[in-house]
Amino acid sequence: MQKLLFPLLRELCFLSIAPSARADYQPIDLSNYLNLGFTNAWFNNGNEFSSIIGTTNGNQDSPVPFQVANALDTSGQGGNNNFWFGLWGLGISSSARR
Amino acid sequence: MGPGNQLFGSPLSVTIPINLAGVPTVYTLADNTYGCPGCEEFDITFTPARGTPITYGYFGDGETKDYKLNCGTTGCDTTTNASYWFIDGNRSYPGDGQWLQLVGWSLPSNFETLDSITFTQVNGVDGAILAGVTVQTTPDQASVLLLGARLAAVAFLMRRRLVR
Repeated sequence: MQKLLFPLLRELCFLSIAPSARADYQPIDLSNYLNLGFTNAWFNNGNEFSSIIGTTNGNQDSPVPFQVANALDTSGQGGNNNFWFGLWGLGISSSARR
Repeated sequence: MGPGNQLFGSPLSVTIPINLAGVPTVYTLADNTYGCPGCEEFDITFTPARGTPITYGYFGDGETKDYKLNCGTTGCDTTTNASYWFIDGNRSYPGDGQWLQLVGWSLPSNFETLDSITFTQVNGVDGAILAGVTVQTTPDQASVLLLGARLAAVAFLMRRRLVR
């Protein structure tokens, strides 16, 4: 009995630390793109963009987590603001253009 | 600055390094200013470590909406089966406040390592808005095989115990 118990327990221990076969979500940190200048620029929430609720662990019925860049407020409103990244201006050509 | 302060110049794209293998799906939380139904507002390009990049478009009233929940631009309805993050307002559509649309992009099974993701502005008037990127990852094949082998070993030991 003991001869069987040891290898069985050993295998169960290995199983407990084995990687799960389920898929995982890996949010990408976008804060490195905070200072790209005027063309590609983050803009703070300010009056126009208020906080995105539940920025790190999914929200509003969605199982997908996101890491929204957080940075000190620059609009004078205080606190931390979540940042959205904006692309503006003339871009590449497209057949679907208006 | 905000959508009222539109900026011009180049480059109008941003490339985000990823360098992850086994990525079946990439999720984005994005929107645009203004827009119109069927208009290509901005693109996303998935670049593999080896092979040909794949580009998909965000089309108005499909993959992207006017962030202002504006019925006069990208329509008055939600995209079927799409998830939205509402910011401020009454969390309904149409309504007040802003929203972001969650879009999942599936990559081919033979895509191998995802080297980077590039967002490129297409429409010169409507600005793309990007708030979040999340990649879905699956365990590598070797880990799954190891797990299977250990499960088989446990099953074998238990079976031998029962037979005795």
